[in-house]
Amino acid sequence: MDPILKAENLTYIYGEGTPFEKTAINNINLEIFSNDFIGVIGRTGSGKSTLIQHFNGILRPTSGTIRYEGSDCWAKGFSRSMLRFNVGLVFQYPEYQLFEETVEKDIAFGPSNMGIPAEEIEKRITESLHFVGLDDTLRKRSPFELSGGQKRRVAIAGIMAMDPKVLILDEPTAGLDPKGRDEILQRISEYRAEKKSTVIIVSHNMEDISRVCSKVLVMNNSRVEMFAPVNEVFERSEELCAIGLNVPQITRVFISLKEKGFNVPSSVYTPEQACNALLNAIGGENA
Amino acid sequence: MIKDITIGQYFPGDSVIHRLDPRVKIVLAILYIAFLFIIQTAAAYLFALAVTFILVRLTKIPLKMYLRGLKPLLFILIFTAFLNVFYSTGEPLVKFWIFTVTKEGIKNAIFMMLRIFMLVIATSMLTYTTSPIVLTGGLERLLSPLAKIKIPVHEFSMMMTIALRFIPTILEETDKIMNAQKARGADFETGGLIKRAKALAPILIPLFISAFRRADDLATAMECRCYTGSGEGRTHYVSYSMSSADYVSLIVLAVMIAAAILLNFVTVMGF
Ligand SMILES: Nc1ncnc2c1ncn2[C@@H]1O[C@H](COP(=O)(O)OP(=O)(O)OP(=O)(O)O)[C@@H](O)[C@H]1O
Ligand SMILES: [Mg+2]
Repeated sequence: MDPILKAENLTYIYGEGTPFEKTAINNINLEIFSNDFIGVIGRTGSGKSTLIQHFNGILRPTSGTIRYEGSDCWAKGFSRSMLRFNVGLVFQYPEYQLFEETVEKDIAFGPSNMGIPAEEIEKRITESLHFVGLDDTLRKRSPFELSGGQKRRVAIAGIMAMDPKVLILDEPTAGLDPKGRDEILQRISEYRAEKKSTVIIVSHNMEDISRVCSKVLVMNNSRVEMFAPVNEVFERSEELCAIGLNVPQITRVFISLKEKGFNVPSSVYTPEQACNALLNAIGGENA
Repeated sequence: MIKDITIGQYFPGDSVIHRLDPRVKIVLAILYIAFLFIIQTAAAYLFALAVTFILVRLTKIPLKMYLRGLKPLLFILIFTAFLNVFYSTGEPLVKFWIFTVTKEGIKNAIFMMLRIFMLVIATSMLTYTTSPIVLTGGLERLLSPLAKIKIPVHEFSMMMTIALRFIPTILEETDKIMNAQKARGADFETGGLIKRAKALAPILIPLFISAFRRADDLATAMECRCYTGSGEGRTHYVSYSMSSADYVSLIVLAVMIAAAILLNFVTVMGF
């Protein structure tokens, strides 16, 4: 199977040629396949937002290439508006980009730029409001009267309504309460399951990522440090700690247990796995 | 790109020029502009160019940065040059249709372009080497005698400080909002005037909302710190004092102006 997105030696430098020059991502190579659910994690300033802005053609690489379904996104004749319709990007703090008089008009902005007929847009508004868990009665409200969390959901709905093949969210849970965080993640997983789309989530929170994602991309100092399935990444918890990241609490508990001599795996990251691992360990001793 | 706007930008550094007293720097910049308007002859222009170049080197900021500031003015530069070439009276060189190119025209065009060029460099140099806060601080100190005749110098300088402080922030924000709307398929580059003007709404509305929010937050923060404008006995955190470098630079500029006036009497091959 061919990757849907592919980065080859991707490098991006902010303010090239000025005294403020800053290499935000450095020589990145990676492949993302259809229906992947990827969590991107890394410390502040490690280049996560810069990387994902290459995936939909917002930033032009300083060097290297980015390919969508095999074709170079910056080659002559490549339609970047097509790319943006297929790769939907929800920016960090997207609630600040709302501008229309009503929620439904704001959600319709993306689809109408795509030239989708009105009835279809209507359908998509209903559908995406449902996906993000907003009540249909909010449709006619001004987005500026909503709470912060609701605004965030409207902004996410605005991208979901474009029905992109790849949905990228830059810290969708930043600044939300734990319940709001869980719910948004839950909604995004449901969306992915239903649409069979590819989803990339940037987050600072390991537990968030471990809960929903299947693969983790760890960024450190403008480079890709690891890119592997969740359990493989958490097995390397020492390396993660060394670059200033944390592993989920459960994983930490199991690492300590293992150090104390218990026969448990150290790549446990969900309560279910923990339960099974503990039962196995106890059963093993009894037998 | 929006990042190309360099007006009011500051490049931190530690050059001789950076370290000058801001009051002196402002006075120097004004005198320098006067100096540019005094010069008339080719010899004087060469002298001014040499001085400008040396100053640019002294700031340790690459010349490229100064030239970037000229980019938005390119059209005005070419336009004035064009007007000067064709609309000066004097000894005609070439004639075609209704246009007459005169020797004076070419001279005026070149001189005018050089003058604007050096003017932009001089003003950029002031803002490139002086942080906005220091700049307005210096300006306030220079204008403080006006407070005696009830001109609210302090309030004006505070307004200017805030405005300058927020220019880069707002540019950055514009960039972010533009990208976010582009991701939703907004198109700012094609279409007629009305279509393009309409396309600005998705940028301007969020931008204004966030600017008002910021203004509100800032006002609250200032009030929390008991800011009441230029009350009695308000003092400054930083006080400026002139160093020998400041006196030297004032003297150097005075000498330069004198030299330029003298060079105005020297003509080379009729220029
Ligand atoms: N518009 C910009 N101009 C100049 N430098 C920038 C710009 N945006 C980001 N940078 C720099 O590039 C580097 C990477 O930034 P980026 O926003 O990609 O980090 P991030 O991993 O998303 O961080 P965070 O977790 O804080 O969002 C940082 O050092 C940052 O200072
Ligand atoms: Mg970021």
